[in-house]
This record gives sequence, structure tokens and C-alpha cells, in this order.
Amino acid sequence: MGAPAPVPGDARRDEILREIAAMIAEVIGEEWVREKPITAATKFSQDLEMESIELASLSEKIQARFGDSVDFPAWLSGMELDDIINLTVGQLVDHIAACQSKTSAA
Amino acid sequence: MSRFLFVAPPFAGHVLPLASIGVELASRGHDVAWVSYDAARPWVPDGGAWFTVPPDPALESATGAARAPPPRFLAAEFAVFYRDVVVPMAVAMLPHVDAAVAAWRPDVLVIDQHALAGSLVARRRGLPWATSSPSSLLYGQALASHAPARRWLSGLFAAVQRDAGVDPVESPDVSPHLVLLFTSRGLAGEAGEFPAHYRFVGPALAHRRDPDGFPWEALRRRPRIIVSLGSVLAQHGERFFATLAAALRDQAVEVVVGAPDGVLRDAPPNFIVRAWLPQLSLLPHADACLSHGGSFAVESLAHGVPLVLAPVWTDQFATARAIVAAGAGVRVRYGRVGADELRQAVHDVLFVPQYRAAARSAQAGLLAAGGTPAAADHVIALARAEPPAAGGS
Repeated sequence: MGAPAPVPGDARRDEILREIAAMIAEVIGEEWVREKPITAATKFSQDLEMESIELASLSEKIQARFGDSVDFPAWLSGMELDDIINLTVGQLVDHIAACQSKTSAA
Repeated sequence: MSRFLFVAPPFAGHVLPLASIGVELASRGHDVAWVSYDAARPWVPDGGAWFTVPPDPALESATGAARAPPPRFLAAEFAVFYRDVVVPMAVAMLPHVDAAVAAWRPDVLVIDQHALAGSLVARRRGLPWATSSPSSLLYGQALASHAPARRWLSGLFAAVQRDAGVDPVESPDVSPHLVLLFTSRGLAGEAGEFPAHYRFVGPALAHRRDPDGFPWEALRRRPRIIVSLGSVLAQHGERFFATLAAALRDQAVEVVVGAPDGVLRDAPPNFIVRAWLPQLSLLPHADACLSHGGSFAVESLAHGVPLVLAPVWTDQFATARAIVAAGAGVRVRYGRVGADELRQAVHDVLFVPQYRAAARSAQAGLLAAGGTPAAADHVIALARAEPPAAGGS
């Protein structure tokens, strides 16, 4: 990434974003992210058009990588319908970062 | 003889089973009336009384091709459909259904699962009513394992019932008297036990007439696959059909495709493309079908024809799962499937004998369910039964 020097939190987020993007590519197929790379603004519904089985696979990968500190299904279940419709990859990245800093602070 | 009022949304797949039952009832001397939008009228049989619901621009935009596709996870697509289509349609239809009941004085209302206004009026007036469930997936079942989606909708459902003057129940689309499901118990298996008033009648195929105009002389060779994805392909239809053309071009299979004009350009020579297909008339001449998992998928099995399934949303995923579990079909991902994968899937259902054997077995179950005459028997029995207590649910 270019532009201003990132503060540590941003660097951590960038790293999580890269990991999540790689997981999504694995789940939906590389060919679907080749032309339009995944960014923080990418929406799960409108942009990636993920369906239930794909979201479940992503959830498993998140669990395997980040462990119990991130409960992806529970986080989704707490949202309102319009939040689900507009959910972005960046929101997931922020959530994971927040869960991790909470865990490391504890 | 009894008087029936059919309450329908303007969706072909939901009107057609009712139309089949309506003709059957009329042929047995009963009186049938309809209340729906004019958009439903082409599918409604002649002869019955007709009560019109005026067009609703908000509903048209909610069901139109221009709308953004809803998420297809967490049952959010169900929630969006109920919030943006089913509930507003209930509010819009309510006074018109009420007026139709006042004028027609039916003994029984036969109500599509998505025409909630019918059940609101029936409950308010203490009339017996039947639920017609072409999707075979009712609200409560669909969301049984989706607590968030139930939460999103429960307030909305309670409000629309209270506003109509009836006590809120959890699943206002489900009749306590009779639920008609146009599939077999075997294919609905994953939902487990069903109450005794759930009647699995199989597809209602009697009295269905396909409009004329199909070029039958263009059919030339077998094997033949019928491709019909319903009206849902506003999104990605072009990509899917381009993939289909790439997958089956130069293959030894005749491909009969229902696709809107312009969606499938430069069709290969082994393709026959029409904006509209006489699906039921074609099925006896099919060796396989490709469907999104709507009622055509079940009708295909009723003819013993195995399928490739490309479900797009809501009940189609459940239908596709059931057919794959029965061994009578192969599922592909509608938005993502590539030419090689699609060619392989078509090849499998055409040439691997187990798929046809499983489809034949599913066919036996569907035909044994009784179809249109059985559905008519059930609603007639309901008309003859003691009426429920006024004000009951």
C-alpha cells in the first residue's frame, strides 16, 4: 500500500485484510477476485454475492486462523437486516482487530 | 356445492397450481372466484368471478429487475422478500380481499402463502382457509434455523396482523386448517415431521394449458435438455447463458432454452431459444432439465427427468438440496459455474444412469401424491367441515 506512513493499528488491519481477502478468494474461486481485487469497501452481498455455503466456509477459515477470540457467526447474528445487506470486508477486518486487541489486553 | 375464493399474488409459479385446482373445482360444479392483481390474470382460468387489486408501483419496484439482489446468506433474502414484497402486498391487498369476500361470500378461501391479506381477512371473519404453498417452504420452516431473520421480521409480522385486527401469530402464512404442498413428503424430508393438516399433493398439473406458438418442428434430436430459469435471471442471465453456450456448443445434445430476447446472443446451432417455453408440453420430450429450483424442477421430476440445478435464492436452495439428496440432480453455483463444470454436470445427468433412476423413483412418489384432484378433494372437505369459531386463527 502507498501514501502516508501507516500507524501500527492500520498495519495490523492491512495484514488482516490481506488474510481475509485470501480466504475469500479461496472460498469463491480466484477467478472471481482477479478483475476486482478485494478491498475494505468490498461488500459481501452486492460485490462478492456470497451465498450461505460460502459464508459458512469463510467462517470455518476464520475460526481456524483466529481461534475462539473471533466469533464470526455470533457477530453476524447480532446485526440488523440493513447492516447485513451492506456488510463490508472492512467491517469484518475491524471486528477481528477489535477482538484481538481485547484478547491481548485481557 | 361450495363457493371458493382464491387469493393470489401476481407470480406465475404461485398462480398456476391454484388455477389447476380452480378448474378442477369448477368441473365438479363448485363456484370459484379470484382476487389478485391484473398481472396475474393471464394465468387465471376463464369462467370464475374476478376481483381486481389495483396496481401498486411500490410493489412493482420491489419485485422489478432493477432492484439490487439481496444477500443470500443468514436467510436475509427471505427477510428482504417478506419485508419489501410480502408485507407491503398484504397491506395493499387487504381492503380488496375484504371487499371480495363481502361480495362473493365464500365458504373457503384458498390463499397463496405470499398473499397474506387473504389469511388476515379469513381470520378476521372467522372463515376456514387453506394455504397453498408452491415453494413448499413456509415462513416458519424457512427461518427455523435463522434466529436473526425471525427477529428482523417478527415485529413487522405482528404489526401487520394487529393493524388488520387479528391477534398476532408467529407464522400468519400457515393455515391451521389445511396446507397444500405441491411436492412429495419424500422431497420435503429435511424439514422433519409435519402436522396432519399438511397435505403433500405433488405438482398440480391437471387442466394446465400451455399457450401455442412453440416451433415443434424445430426439435430434431435426442438427447435433449430443457433450460428454464424462470423470471429470476435479470441478474447475471447473460453470463450464465454465455457459460451455457460455451459449455454445450458442439456437444451431441439439443438444448432448448427459455431466455428473454437478447440475453443469449449468437446461440450455437444445437440451441433452440425462445422467450417463453411450453414447459409442461416439452417435459415428455426431455432427457434432462436445467432449472433454478422453482416449481419447474418438481414438475421435471414428476416426468422422471433428472436435473442440473442452479438455485438463485430463497426456497430454491432448499428444493435443490432435496433433489440432490434424492440423487436426482446435480447442483451448480448459478453466479460462479464455469463452462467445464456445467458441461460435466449436464453430461452426468444425461448419461449416468443413477440420476434417471432416482428421478423415476421421485416421479413415483410425486404422482402417488394425487396432484390436482387430491388438492381439490382436500379443499372441498374443508368447505364441508364445521366452520371454525369466529375470530379464531
